[in-house]
This record gives sequence, C-alpha cells and structure tokens, in this order.
Amino acid sequence: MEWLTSLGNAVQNPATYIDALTLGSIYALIAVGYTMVYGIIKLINFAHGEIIMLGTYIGLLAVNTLNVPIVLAILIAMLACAAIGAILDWTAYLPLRRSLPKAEILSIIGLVGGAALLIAYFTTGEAGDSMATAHRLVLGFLAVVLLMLLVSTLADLLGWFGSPRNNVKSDRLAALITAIGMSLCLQTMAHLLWSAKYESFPTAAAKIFDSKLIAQTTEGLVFRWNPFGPPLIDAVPVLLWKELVTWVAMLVLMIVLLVIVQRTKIGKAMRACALDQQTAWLMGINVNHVIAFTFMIGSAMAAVAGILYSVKVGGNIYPRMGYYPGVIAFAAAVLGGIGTIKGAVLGGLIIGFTEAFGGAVAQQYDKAFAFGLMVIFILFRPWGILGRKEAKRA
Amino acid sequence: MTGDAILSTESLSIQFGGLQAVNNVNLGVHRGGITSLIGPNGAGKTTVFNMVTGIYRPTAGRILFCRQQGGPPANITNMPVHKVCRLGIARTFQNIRLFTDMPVLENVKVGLHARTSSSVFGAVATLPGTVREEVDVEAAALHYLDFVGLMHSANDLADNLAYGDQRRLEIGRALATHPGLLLLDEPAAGMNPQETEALMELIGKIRATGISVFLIEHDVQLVMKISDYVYVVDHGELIAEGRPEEVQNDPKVIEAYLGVDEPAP
Amino acid sequence: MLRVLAVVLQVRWWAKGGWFKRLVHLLPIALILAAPLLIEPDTSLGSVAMDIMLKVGVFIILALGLNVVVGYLGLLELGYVTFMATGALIATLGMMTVKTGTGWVLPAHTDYLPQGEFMFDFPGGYLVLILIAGLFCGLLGVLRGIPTLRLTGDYYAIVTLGLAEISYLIYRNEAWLSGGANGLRLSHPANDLTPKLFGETLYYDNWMLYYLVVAVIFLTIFAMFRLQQSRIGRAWAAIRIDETAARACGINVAWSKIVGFGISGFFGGVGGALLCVTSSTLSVNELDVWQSIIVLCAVVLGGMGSIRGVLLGTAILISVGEFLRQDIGGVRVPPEARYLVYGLMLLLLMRFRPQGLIPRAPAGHPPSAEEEEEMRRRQTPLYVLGENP
Repeated sequence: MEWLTSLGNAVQNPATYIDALTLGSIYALIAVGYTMVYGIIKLINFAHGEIIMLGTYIGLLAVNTLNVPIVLAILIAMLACAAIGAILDWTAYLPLRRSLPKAEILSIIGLVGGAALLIAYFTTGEAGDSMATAHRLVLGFLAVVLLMLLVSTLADLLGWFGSPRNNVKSDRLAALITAIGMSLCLQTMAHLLWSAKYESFPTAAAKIFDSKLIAQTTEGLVFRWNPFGPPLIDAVPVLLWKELVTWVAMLVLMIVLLVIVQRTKIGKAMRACALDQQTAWLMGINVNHVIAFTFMIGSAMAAVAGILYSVKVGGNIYPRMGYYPGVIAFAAAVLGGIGTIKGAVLGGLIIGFTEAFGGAVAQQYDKAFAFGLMVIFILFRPWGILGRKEAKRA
Repeated sequence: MTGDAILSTESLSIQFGGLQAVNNVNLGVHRGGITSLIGPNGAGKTTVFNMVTGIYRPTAGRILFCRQQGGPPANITNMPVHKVCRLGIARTFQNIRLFTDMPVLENVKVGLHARTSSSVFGAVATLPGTVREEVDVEAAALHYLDFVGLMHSANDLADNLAYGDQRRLEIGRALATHPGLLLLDEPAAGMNPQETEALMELIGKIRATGISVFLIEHDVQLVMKISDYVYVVDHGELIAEGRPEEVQNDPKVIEAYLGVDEPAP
Repeated sequence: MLRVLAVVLQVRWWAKGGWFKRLVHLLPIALILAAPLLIEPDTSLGSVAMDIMLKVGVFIILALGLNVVVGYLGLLELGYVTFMATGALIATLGMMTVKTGTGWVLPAHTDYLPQGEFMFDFPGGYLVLILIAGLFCGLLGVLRGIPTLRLTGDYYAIVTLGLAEISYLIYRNEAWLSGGANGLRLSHPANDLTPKLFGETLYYDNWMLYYLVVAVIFLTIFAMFRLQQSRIGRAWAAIRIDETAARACGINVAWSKIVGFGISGFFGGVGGALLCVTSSTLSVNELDVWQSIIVLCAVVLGGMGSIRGVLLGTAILISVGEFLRQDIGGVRVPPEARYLVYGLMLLLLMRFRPQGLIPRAPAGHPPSAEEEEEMRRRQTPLYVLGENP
C-alpha cells in the first residue's frame, strides 16, 4: 500500500500539520465572508473568489508602487476590498432585491455608451493597432457598464426616482446567476488590467514572512525571534514567520468578528436580518445597509486571506487565483455549519487538514479531497457540524 | 363512529421537537359521506391531513385506508406521498398550491399523471399508444374542468384566476387523480357568501358521485349544513365527535371555541 | 382527428397559421439545409463561417440537454462539463481502439502509431460511438443524480460544481486515459484517425459533418418538443413550480427527476462526442467548469425552459464568442473579451430580463373552441368520477 506509507510519513511529519493549519486558517478567513453573506441573503457569493484576487492584486500594487511594508499593504487591501464588497452588492445584488424600474434607463445609457465607444474605435481604428489599446477599450466598456449599473442603483437609493420600493422580489436563482456573471466580469477585468501572467510579492517585501522562526540545525531546534536578523542559512526550517502570522491573523480577526456580531449594535442588526428580513425592516433596521456592511466585512477578510495565501504559496497571483480557494472555502463554510462564524473556522481547519493530508497521499488530487468532503457533507449533513437542523415543519 | 369507514386512524400522534402536535387521535371517515374536522387555529387539523397524505411521518399510530367496500384495508402509514395519491386519496391545500405558471387545463392534466402510463420513449418516438393517451388526457381534463365549472377559463394561467376559481381548480386537479377519498383543507377560506354557496353545491355534487369527503373548515355554518359526522380537535387531541347537532351543543366544544368563564371567587 | 393530431404533435401553427407564418418557420430550416450551397469552405471567410456554424450547432445540442435540468426541472446545474468531457473521451478513445495481436487496445498516447484493425472502422461506426457516448453519459447522469435528489437551489449548484471539479481533476491527471495536458489527437500525421461516416471524412470543411450535426439537432429539438408536451414534461414543470403539490398529484418526484438527469446527460454525451470531432483534438484540459458556465449562459440568454429561446441564445452567444476570436478589420480583440461578454450578459439579463430573450411559453397550447367540442364528445376511460361508474 503505497498511499498508506505516504500517509504515515505525512502523519509523522510536523510540517504537514503546520501546512494544514496555515491552509486551514486561510480557508477560515475566506469562509467567513461566504458564511455571513449566506446567512443573511441566502446567496452563494460566487464573486467572493474574485474579491480574494482583487485584494491580492491591490496589496501587490501597494507594495510595488508605494513601497509600503507588506503589513501596511494588507491594511490597504482590506480597506479597498471593503469598498469593493459594498460596490459589488450595490452593482449586482441590490437591484435584484428591489424594484428599480426607472433606474434601467441609466444602465441602458451606460450599455449604449460603452458599445458606441467600442464600435467607434473598431470602425475608425487602423490595422495593426496594438493589443494594449484593444485591451484598454474592452476594459473601458466593462467599466462604463458596471459604473452605470452602480450609478443607477445609487441614484435610486438617493431617491432620485421617487421613493424606492424594498424587497419586491428576490429570486435566488437570479441572484446566483448574477453572482456567476459578476465573477466572470471581475476575472476578465483583472485579466485585461494585469494580464494572465503569474506574479508574486517581491522577495524584499516578503522577506519578513519568509524568514524562519524555528529551525532545525545540527545543534537542535533554534528559535529566532528577530525576523530582521541575519538569515539562518544552513538550517532546515520548521516554522516560518508567515505561518505564525497567518494563525495569529486568523485568530485575532475571528475574535474581532465575534465581538462585532455578538456585542455591537450592527452585529445585533445582522443577526436580526439573518432571522427575518421583513421583520427587521419593520423594526427600523435598514436591511440594505446591514447587507452592504456584511459584504464589506467579508471582503476585508478575503483580502487578508488572499495576500496570506499568495505569500504562503509564494507567487500564484493571477486573475483566476481566487476560484479554487473561493470554492473550497465555501465547502469549509458548509462543513462547519453555514451562517456561524465558529463553524467557518472549524470547517476551514478541517478542509485545510483534509487538503494537506490528502495532498500528501496524492499530490494531484489535493483539491479533490476537499471537494469530495464538501459533497459528502451537503448530501448527508447539509446543516454542517455546528449548524442546527431546521425543524421540518411546513 | 360506527359503520363502514374508508379511512381510519388508530392513536395517531406526531411530535415536532418537544411539541406534541397531534396526540392519540382515533377517527374514521364515512364511506360515501362528508366528514368534517374542526377546531381552533393551531389545533393540529392540517397536521392530521399531512400525516394521512404522507407529507409528515407520524411518531406513533396507524392510518388505514380501505377503498373497496369490504376489501382489505391498506396500511398507509409512512407511505410516500405519491403512492398515497395513487391509492386513491387526493387533497387540496390550505394555502392554494396550484401550478401557477401553467394554464388551467394543464393543471388538471398534471392531476391525471398518476392514472396514465406513457413512457419517455413513447413520447419521443410518438408511438400510437402515447398519442392516443395524450388525446385522452386532454379530453378528460376538459371533462373535469367542466365538472368544477371552469370550462370558460381553460386557456388562462392558473395564477390569473379569481380566488374562488383557484379553489375550484385545485379541487378539479384533485378529482383528476381519481380519488376514493377527497381531503379538502379549508376550501371556503376567504370566500364570499355566494362563492361559499357555489362551493357547497360542488361538494354535494362530488359526494353524489360516491367520493367520500373529509373536510377541514372554519366556517361552522357550512360544516353544520353539509357534514354527516364531525370531529373536533383542540391542542392536538380529539375532544368531541358526533353528528353536527350533537357536537354543536357539546360544552367542551363551546369551551374550546369561546373559552370558559372563570367562576367568580 | 387531424386537428387532434396537430394538438399532440405541436404543429398547430401549421394547421392554423397563414402562409406567412409557415414561411417564417420554414425559411430558417431551408437556409440551414441550403447552407452548403451558399458557403465555400475553401475561402478564409467560408472556413470561419463553417467553423462557427459547427460550433454553434454542437452547443445547441449541449444547451438543449442542459435545458432539461435548468429549464424544465429548475435546478442550477454547474457540472454539465462532466458529460461533455466524458462523451468526448468515449468517442475519441473509440476511434483509437485498435485490434492488435493481444486483443483490443486503447492507445492513449499522442505518439502512438496505431496499426491494425480499428474497432469502429465500419460504415456508420461513428454513429454507434455517438450513441454509446450518449448512453454512457445518460447512465452517469442517473448515477450522479440519485444522491442529489433532495437538493435544491444553491446546494444543487455547488454539489454539481464540486463533482465536476473532481471529474476534471481525474481526467486531467490520468494521462493514460485522456492524454493529460497534451490531449488526444484524432488527426495523427502518421495515421489519420479522423472519423469517417459513409466514406466521408468528418472534418470541419466537410459537409458530411455539417449535415450530421444538423440531423442530430433536428432530432434533439423534436425530442425536446415531445418531452415538453408529454406526461413527463408536465411532471417536470409541476416539480419545478411546487414539489409538494406535485407529489400530492401522484407524481413520483424522484423518478421524474432521475429521468430528467438521464436525458440531460445523454445529450451532454452526444454533444461532447460531436465536439471532439469538430476540433479533431480532445483536450480535457480545456473542458473545465467554465465550459459548463458558457452553456449555462446560452440557456439563460435564450430563456430557461424555452426551446426557441435556447436555439436563439446559443446562436447569439457562441457566434459572438467565436467572432470575437477572429480578426476584425485587422484588429484582434483580446480573447478574454468573450468572457466579458458572457459575464456582462448574465448580469444585465438577470437585472432587466430574467426570463431570457424568448421566455418560455406557458406549457402546452390549450385547444380552440372547435377542438374543445371535439374533445368533449370524446369518451375516455380517464374520465371516471366516483366509485361506481
């Protein structure tokens, strides 16, 4: 049994556990975004993976252009992604929850304007124009349409078209398809903006993360508390700084989140919306604000996770980078029990361990183990480990 | 109750979590008669219907259904919903559950599903047997629509029907499954007096064909007028049964509906 | 009786419609059949047109198959690519199966020089392969469908996605089966394996392939129309709208769904088998989950559950996508622009026209007054009220 041997080796090797824990922490951070959004609007936000990707690119841009340390880059990416999360909700999902008949006009102007731009370019453009121009124009078209979709929603929110009607209909299938569409749009946008090539954080910036915290030398285990000291060259790394940072970041952020959800006013509003949106409206809660806030929090977490993920893997920044961690983190959210933060952490860790140990057995199939676990759970225990089974009373 | 029962339950009970929604209910539905189940809101009436049709699984007790007079009774406890229907129990729902996007006629055709048998292959290959059956289905559906008096709106979407007509359509769809027993869950809810009158006429017509009717209703006038036998439930338990006029004067029933005066201290 | 037949066969427009209406229906069919006379595949424009038409054709079959689950059963299927890949793999491997001294051999190496007698090298052998691919995928659909019977909405979508990812990983990693990242090539320089049908090579410049695809499309459309109007079609519609009420009407929901999954898988396999021929290469690497999403886009654009809608949606979506791959006036649009179109389209559609370009008609066509009379006179055993007729 060859695979049993490799599993045995993995079980005896502490590196597997460290890897599993790191991976699990990253999945937990992503899963929180899914679980909170799903808890409130019952939507699998497929575009969440793209938020991870955008957050990582923003972090990379901050490091490359502003020369900020990577920790600050994470903060910048969190803020930017929080904004993107809210914009995502306003552009894509809010219009599905409300009836915005007149706002359509603005969106159609956007579509026609963008199309006119494209046609004008392609009819007058000379042969041999550079690829880059075409990229920019296609991107411009996308930007114009998305912007007008956003503006039309905002205009409606501000009451330009008279008083808005809330929660007229919510078709979950439509929202899910919109999420897939948004995912495609954001991916394409990143592709056009930054091209499909793999990128990574510059070694100088990621140096702190890559330095060893615990290493195995000929004299035994060595602890190096100062990441800025001279590198341990001949030592075998046992624990790297980035791994510790990932664990700590996950723990701290989860505690902060739990405090927000359990102890603050907005947290109480979030819990109310998760139980019954109609009643929450009647109690004076602006549900749309709460949902936007949820998207912001989840997206900020995704930004952290994205940067830590690319630091962990070492590179791996490309437009489709968010897809796999995104879907697998959704699996984690389901596993732990969707709608609960603790469940997301538990599920993330379980999936992390599954993937790490599964990968030790069959390297090519590490993701398949995670997907398989998700499928089994959805089929047999869809409410997850920590979730509660809904009473089956019609 | 005495006489020949088409449906009978034996100490039927169900629990939801810690709540005993229905407790130890024994009742029987007269063959060829109209039997009613009344009781205050939340007494467990619809739950009984849901157990009979297999939507809920009772935690204890048995349900027996005997379609042929004198035939062996079938134990339908825990039977899948569609099998219960095929044995001959059809129902309507408290909150009307029509196939809203479909035309009225198609709704009735769905009711004929259980009685037809054409296969997928037959449909794709357009075998003569299938074609004949499809024509029969259309003809029969029109007959049923005629029976419930909706012939004029066969081509409308079910969603666009008036409320009373939606109720009638639901009854028509249930009749199309060829039931021996028809369960009606508050058929007169939300109807005006004229519509209720027409509904009573329809229920009488159904009874005349030999179909037994089991009825949940809030409109006590209606129940008293058309029922042969009445059961009263409160808090999941049977508190009275008998002929309408007997039940009407039962102190327990009056208490359940009106509450009881506390004696002055 | 003729009228009754018209009801059943869904050709009432033919029986009742005027000449103009008949023309509207016949013209596209005539154009499609006459396309070989109008397009010359030797010219560059002609070959591009041919390529696009074939791809649209194959995707129409795929989209109609997906429509069974997405449109009729109302479940969001994201793992359709499994059937495409499996069907394509079966057809490709079937073409490569050769009889050697040791028996039948499945050579899955790109550098393999097949020698000997080919298993499906008889007239119509390719048709048999398509059928095998379809039946196998139908079985796969049934097997995959059984555990997912209880799921609805998002959970069905994510489970199909997860299963599709697993099958994608398997196909990509097991190079002995699928050629792995290199894929399998049907047109080998040393020994051309391009499938033949009645002596004609099925290649994109050959009209035999075109007519094969057209024939399969017509059969598919006919089958879909018949299914939609039949007993099972009504059961599907009932399940989609209200599952509990459907059960209470005596519909065996589990069985009806399984049948739907099987049919959907069948057409996925058939489409996949045709797909590998139109490109004369099979690269499972390219058949990732986004391919299912493209087919889904086509269905959503046209209108879920509407056959005409799916035809129109696929024609628009795939031809626009393929068109964007070509040089336009010397300027090449970036290839990702396709995905931009798909993504934006989903976004705008769901916001402004969630029912699609041609929404589904209410199931069935209720009869006219005269037909009604005819029907009322008809005695049918299905009309029996009460216990003792």
